[in-house]
Amino acid sequence: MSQRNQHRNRTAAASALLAFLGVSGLILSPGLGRPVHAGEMRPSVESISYASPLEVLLSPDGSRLYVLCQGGEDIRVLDAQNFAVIKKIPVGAVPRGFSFSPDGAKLYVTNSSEDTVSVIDTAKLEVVATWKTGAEPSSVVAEPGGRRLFVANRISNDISVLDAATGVEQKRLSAGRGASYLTLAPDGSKIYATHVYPNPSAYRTAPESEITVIDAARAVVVDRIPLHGIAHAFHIDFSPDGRLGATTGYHPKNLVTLAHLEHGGAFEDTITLFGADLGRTVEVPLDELERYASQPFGVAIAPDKSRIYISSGGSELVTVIDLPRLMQYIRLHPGGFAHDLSASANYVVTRIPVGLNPRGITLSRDGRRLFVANRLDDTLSVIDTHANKVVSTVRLEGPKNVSALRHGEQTFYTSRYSFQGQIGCANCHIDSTFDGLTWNLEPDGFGRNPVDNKLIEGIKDTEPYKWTGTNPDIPTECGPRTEKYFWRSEQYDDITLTDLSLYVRSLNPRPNRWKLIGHEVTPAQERGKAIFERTIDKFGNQIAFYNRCIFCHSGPKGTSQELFDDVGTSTPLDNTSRLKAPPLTNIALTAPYLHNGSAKSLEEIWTIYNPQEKHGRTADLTKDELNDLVEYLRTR
Amino acid sequence: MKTKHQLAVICTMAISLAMSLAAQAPQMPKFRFENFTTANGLPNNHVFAVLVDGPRVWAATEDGLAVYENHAWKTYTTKDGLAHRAVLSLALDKNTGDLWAGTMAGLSRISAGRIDTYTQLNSGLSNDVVYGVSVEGENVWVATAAGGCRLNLRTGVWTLYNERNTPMNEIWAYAVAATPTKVYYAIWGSGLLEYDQKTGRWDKYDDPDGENEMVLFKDQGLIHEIVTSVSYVDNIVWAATYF
Repeated sequence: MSQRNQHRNRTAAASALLAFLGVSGLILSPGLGRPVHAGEMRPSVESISYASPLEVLLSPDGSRLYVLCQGGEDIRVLDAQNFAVIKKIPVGAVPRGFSFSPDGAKLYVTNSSEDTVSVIDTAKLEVVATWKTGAEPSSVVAEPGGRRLFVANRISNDISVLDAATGVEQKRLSAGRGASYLTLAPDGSKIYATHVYPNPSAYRTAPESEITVIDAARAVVVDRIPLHGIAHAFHIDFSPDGRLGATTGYHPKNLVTLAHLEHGGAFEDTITLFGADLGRTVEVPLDELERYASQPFGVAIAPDKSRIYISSGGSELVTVIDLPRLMQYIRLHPGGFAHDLSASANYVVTRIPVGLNPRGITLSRDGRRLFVANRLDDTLSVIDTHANKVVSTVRLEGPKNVSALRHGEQTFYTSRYSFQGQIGCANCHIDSTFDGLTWNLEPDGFGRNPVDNKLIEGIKDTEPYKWTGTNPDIPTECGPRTEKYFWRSEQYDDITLTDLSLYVRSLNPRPNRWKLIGHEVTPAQERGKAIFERTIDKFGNQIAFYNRCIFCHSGPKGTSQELFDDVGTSTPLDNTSRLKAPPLTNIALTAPYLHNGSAKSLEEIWTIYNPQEKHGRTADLTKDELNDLVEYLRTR
Repeated sequence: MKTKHQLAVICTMAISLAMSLAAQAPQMPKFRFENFTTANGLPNNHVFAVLVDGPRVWAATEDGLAVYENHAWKTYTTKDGLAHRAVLSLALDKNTGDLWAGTMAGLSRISAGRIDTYTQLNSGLSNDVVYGVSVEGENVWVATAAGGCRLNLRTGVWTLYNERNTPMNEIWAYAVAATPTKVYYAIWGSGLLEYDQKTGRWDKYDDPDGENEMVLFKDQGLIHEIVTSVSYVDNIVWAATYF
């Protein structure tokens, strides 16, 4: 049998398997059958824990490399010269960010899933304290005086200020939405915070994020630098003189129909420069036609201000920018050039392929070596910055086989499947969540049906998918539809689609922060639950069953999985008013609401968008009672 | 609208000279007044509240929120995100430096130039007419035309106070003064309400004679049921009434 025939037969068999599983609703949950990858048996998905290096730091003296391993939930300490493992230090659940104390004696690690900071003694290399923070702490910095720690809390949208001696939280500062990455300015006077979700904005207007600037000594917010058009911003770095800052960001084109990947697409992958060298913010595109820098994340400015390095998680490369040439280009183009795909050829020196899903990067003090954490293949790339080449790839201890789940996750984050490698699933599902944006998708018609992008945690067993329920299962949602209308490129092979579907099904909801420990409910939540489940209104009248909250939003995930005709929210832009009742999983996090993202808050669903009372009987409620209903919904 | 006392201008007073100097020059004034009006940058001469915040002075005017800094006024308006042009009340969160402004159409937080607005439609705020605001710890206490509210900044939970859960006969809350121990609400037509932070209990101070036009019981309670302003400092409550 020829190789082509073998492939065809294997593809046909996998297609039959997919079709069967899709129809039967048995899509490859971890406890069920697993796909077989290219003829090899792979280990059970439950038993595999990959290191998943997310961030990397050099010790202040440069002798050690610290690697934050999100999957292993540990910090690996390596010799910075020969990369021998010195110690593996277990930390809390799903660590996300880390930094040293000013004297280097402590390493602080945020544990995003359990809302704590682990304090590691860098002499003993062990955790010596664990401190409480806000919800989903994502990065941490200490102010130079060593008195306070600042922690960015992604889903409480604020910054905890902790006493660095005791860990006691002193206060919370209001940040932007999705506060995630903190950087101390070189002179120690300010702390800069970026955000992975856009701030709330008017319906169908361009997204906007901010850099929150904190006075480190006074621990108050003193400035907010707007990032126009940027929905998701990640790391910041400064030049050693503090006069130039750079942050990575995604600039989505969500206000136009997502149909033109072949014309330069759905996102601009950019860095935004700011600081005294410029006196303003300047958004700088990294993309070039056919060479995109999808999902920019880490950034490092060379000590001599000669280069900027940017990791791109989707494109699996590091972009090297000639900084003097870029500054010259900026001076020659004062009107801005963020949308110009021809611009980057004037300042990008090279693009260096690295491992899978490169994230955190750090430069050696002399700028000669750049270390890159490749999250999805458990390696570190070591780049010689003179040669602009990877000179060493350090494999971290962990499973050698790639499980189906791991392959699915790699598929989710890579941009290689889309036309010219422009986007991946993770462009719109930031860290496998949501993006807070409303998009216009081509299948519904140009300019038709703007739709809110939903959270994908916990979506298994909530089919059909899409607001209009047109995708019967996850393989259809992630496969043909995505390939045709988003990727505009080659199809996944069936094994890849199966693994991707397995990964999406594995995304469990993160802990709900509104639920009390032990799952007790507050009086307001209890009253709200009664309203959610009521069958009789306050005048003693029966509420029609289709107008009861509990009818459409039934079951453990808050969806009956049924489509309903006209809940009063359709607009002239909608092709149909028949919509699926969406799940309520972690609903408090995912504004905006309704199928078209028109409601900016849970309250607005009823105070503004339910005038005909088709979306539940609510007109008889007092404001107190509506607040109770919202309090209950936040616990879902 | 039942406006509170309106100040026509903002005045700053400073003791200009020592007493000895005053004795040498008795004709010189004891204080130096500097008046601010639209003539020198204030957006409107109807000023409902003023608040000193370090080197800055905030003025709640009928036509925007003005801040005086470095010898110049700057005005925030609805274009900047302010809930309404008419600003009625101000409170400073000394912990974070954020300013809270109650307006005729919602509550705004001004934080390093960014303005977030809470209304009765987009949040748990009980009513858009916000007569009073006070910050205590992580709680923002609000006096509105439909009772009082408390927003917990850490949890985002709104708690409403009205005739259903307090001795508030009328729900026209005109002012609030919040401290870690007690919270006082000045209620138009329903006296002075006291909330004990430790016990969660409400108490009420009324006009003991119940008369609108005269005072029969001198120094035995409030002068009148219409209370328009309240302050609580050093365990002393000051309440302003209509008559």
